[in-house]
Amino acid sequence: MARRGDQRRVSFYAPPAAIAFAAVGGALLVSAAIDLTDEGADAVVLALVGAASAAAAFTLYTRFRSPPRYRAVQALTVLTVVWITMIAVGMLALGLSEVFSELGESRRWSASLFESTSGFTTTGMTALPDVDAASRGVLFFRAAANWLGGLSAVIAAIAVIPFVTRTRDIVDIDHTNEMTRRLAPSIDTGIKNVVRVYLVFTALLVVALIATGIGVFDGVAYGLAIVSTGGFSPHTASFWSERNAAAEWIAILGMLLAGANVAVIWWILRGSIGSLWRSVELRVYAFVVVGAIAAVSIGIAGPDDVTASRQAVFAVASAISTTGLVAFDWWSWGPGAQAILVLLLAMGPMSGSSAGGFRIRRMIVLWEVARRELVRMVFPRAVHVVKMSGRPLTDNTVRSVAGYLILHLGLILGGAYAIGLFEDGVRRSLVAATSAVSTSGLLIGVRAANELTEGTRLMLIPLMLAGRLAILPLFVSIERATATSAAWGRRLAGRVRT
Amino acid sequence: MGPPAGRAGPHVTIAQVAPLIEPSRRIESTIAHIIGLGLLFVGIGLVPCVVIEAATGGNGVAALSITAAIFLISGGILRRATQIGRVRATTVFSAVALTWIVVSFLGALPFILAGTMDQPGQAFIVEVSNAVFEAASGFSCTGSTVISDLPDVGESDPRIGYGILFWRQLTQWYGGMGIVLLVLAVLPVLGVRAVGFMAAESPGVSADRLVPRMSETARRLWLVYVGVTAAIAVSFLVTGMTLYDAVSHSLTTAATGGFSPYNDSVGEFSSIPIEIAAIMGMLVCGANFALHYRFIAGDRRVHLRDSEFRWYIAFFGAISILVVGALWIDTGLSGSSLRAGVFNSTSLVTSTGFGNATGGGSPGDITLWIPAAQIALLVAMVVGACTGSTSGGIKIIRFRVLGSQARLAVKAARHPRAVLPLKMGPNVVPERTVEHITGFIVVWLVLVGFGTAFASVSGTDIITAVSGTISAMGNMGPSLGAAGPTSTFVDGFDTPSRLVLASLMIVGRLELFAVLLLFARPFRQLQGLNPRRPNRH
Repeated sequence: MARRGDQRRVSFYAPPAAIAFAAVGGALLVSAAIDLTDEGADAVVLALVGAASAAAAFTLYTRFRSPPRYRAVQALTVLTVVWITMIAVGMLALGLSEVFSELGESRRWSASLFESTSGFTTTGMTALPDVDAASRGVLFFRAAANWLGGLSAVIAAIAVIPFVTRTRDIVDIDHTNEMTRRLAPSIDTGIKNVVRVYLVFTALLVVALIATGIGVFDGVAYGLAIVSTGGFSPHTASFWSERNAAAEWIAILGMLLAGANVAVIWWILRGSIGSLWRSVELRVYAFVVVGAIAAVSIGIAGPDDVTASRQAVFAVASAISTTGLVAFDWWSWGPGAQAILVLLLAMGPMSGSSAGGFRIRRMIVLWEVARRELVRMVFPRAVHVVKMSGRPLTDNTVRSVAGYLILHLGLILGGAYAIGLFEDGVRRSLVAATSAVSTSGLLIGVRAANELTEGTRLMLIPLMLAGRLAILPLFVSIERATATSAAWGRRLAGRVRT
Repeated sequence: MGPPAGRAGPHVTIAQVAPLIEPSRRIESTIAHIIGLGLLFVGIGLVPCVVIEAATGGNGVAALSITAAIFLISGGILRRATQIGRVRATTVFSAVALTWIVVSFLGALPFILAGTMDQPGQAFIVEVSNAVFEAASGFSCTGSTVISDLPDVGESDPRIGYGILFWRQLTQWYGGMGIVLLVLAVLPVLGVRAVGFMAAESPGVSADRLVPRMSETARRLWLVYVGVTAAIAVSFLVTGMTLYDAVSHSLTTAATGGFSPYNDSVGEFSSIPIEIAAIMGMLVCGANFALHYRFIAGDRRVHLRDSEFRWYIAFFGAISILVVGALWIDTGLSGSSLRAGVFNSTSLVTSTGFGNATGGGSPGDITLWIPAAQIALLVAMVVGACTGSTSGGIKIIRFRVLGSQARLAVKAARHPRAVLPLKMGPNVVPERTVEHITGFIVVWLVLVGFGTAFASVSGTDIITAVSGTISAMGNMGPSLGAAGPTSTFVDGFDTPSRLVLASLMIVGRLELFAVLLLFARPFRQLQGLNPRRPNRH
């Protein structure tokens, strides 16, 4: 960021917003170029919005510089600002393009807001009536939105939140933290390393997908959507349309890796696999995945065993990594398999990934707390320290996880209530809310979000955003916004009185 | 209980009453002694059931008499053969959990012997498991039923006589205030651990002694309970029920249990005054009975001062508004939706489980409501009512503590270096309480996840499975989906799932830890946590 511009004003929010504008603008310009390789119906719109976004970025860049350091509340609010900027630009581009033109003026904008939010929050529910009919440029932009959202999420989780909230040392509870700290010794190095890992991982996955023969465009689009656990697909039938075992296996591997902490991927890329196993969170993640695959395979009990088990593996990977790609008719499975998949998507994978959900680390912390309670019931006076990887958990960690649990549950149930006002069926409402808060995008009973009512989709937008912002930054921003407006109110009231 | 005389020490009292076995030869087992007394108390309750069954000419006289004999004889033997021994923390939990388990199994006998669960073409084992389900649902005050063809008002059914039905109501009444608490009322000898028994059995985070002596506290709580039950019975009588209906419904209202001798539950009467009386009764019994005691003792403002009670009323109001609001959006505001909304909100906030549906498709059939209203009810089922009440669920107080914790988490993110104590009113909540509550909620949710997975793998659809499990854990009664107020748990769950639910009911009624510790013991010894003092019980 800026170091020389002394004339520029200091602003907390403008420089990060400039970066967001620049990133989305760049993505739009690339999408416009890609659109030209096909029919080019949306190329002009995408290029214009992209240029406008880049211009906005430039304007902000020349006028504002960031302060030397951010306080926690400012940094967390910045995250909200970054996402809202990206979503707004994306909404503008999609709304002006041809994809929602059939829907009429007002629904067109609500649908593009939904699509853009779903993209940048890496949720991957789509409101497109017919994905296959959309132009290439738009399809690429959706994948790029996933990718940018995922990248921002990983940067926030690894290189921003731990530093500004000073939880970096406090949550030193697992070997994953050790790896994360080496990946991100400071904010700047952390961001650089994360971007590097993310780019290499994306490139490898895209090449592997193309090598399976699903085509260059699909390979790129799926690669971007899988790395970011986003799950937008360039086809109406999602991954189902591929019918390619090799591609499915690559996608499975990609989704599972994308659900791992980015530090894990970094260590794998560096070739030091041996020490990975010391991470409790990674071990539990692996254990949950294997267990869930077994349970779901039993749950389907299809006649065609090999296909059935590949489907089970794909479903588990898609659910737990909160990617949300669909490769088969999994809503026709028995309730047992469905229940397990819903539990998985509510749980989510490792912390420090771009995925959503409650995360395995928090589950481990809670599990240890619960275990200690059992011991305490028997030995009320014993001093028993909750440990993870042999290190004691601090009270702060325990308490913040407990608080988080309530916020998370409250968000899901409150969201489900709001959705339940519009939607048909309790199950649909609950699953849609859970799926949005986990930024997963998997739904049961409907194939895509375009089968949901419009009211439901509007309700899902704040849920996706809250889930993406890991809930805490959003609540902090809301608290700050209310505090600010209350202060303004007081000031106004004071003026009126005098 | 005579006064202690002769030998010093606590066992003398029992020795005088029970001279059959020499005190010195009695086995020292607190657990067996408490179970014995519990069986005796419950056995006494079977006597009026026999009388009612005989007076109304039912076929279940023999079944009820045999069960009464089994309860009284085995209870008597256990009581006379054992004496109170050392009381450790483990003893407390084991005694409470085992009492409940034994009573629930034996309590199923009348249903088995009278053939209440008999269906053509049904295996005997299914019949037995249904009877156990019904008894567990009774004692745990859940109110989920597997009987689909209860007789209507004025009808009689040879399989399901009035005495059997009265027994079904009575199981909930015993479970409401707690069997072990009843035992404590006559055991003045347990010493400092006595409050532990009460804490292990009564719902919520704290167990207050009303007076310094535990047995006196237990006696007074039971007296308040009997008084509240009588008051509810009178209000039902005044609003137009017959004596039998009034008494049987008052037993399950006071216990916030929810069994009714009729298929349509309170809806059978189609009477607004009766429903209002039921709402008032449920609300009273969803509150802390210690508060009621102090109120009766003369402190008229005690409820208003209690923050949990205020939150309870606020929560009830919020859920009612959410439910009625959703129904309003769905069907327009009408008297019937207001009535159905408020009644069912009360019923599930207090974890009673009465319904006012008059058959499928009526306004009270919650399974057909707009999803938002059903989700609001689901939230009510999870949260529950007050500490020290007869209700179930996780309890308001726990959510209040964790809710404050959540607010602190947001604050802590803003001010990373601040020291932020968790306060409720002027008092700082100890770290340990927060952790205890967190642990409780986590185990609760894990068990809900387990029950849901188990039931849905056996073919129950997800919403029925999750709401049925929450209903069992929170001792509610009806679930959403296929086991709602107008259907039974046979429609929603297969036999193994029903048995899992029945055990979750007992686990939920005893607030998890008492029962879980029974299974945790071998694990503890393996872990070397309990190496030096082997358990003698």
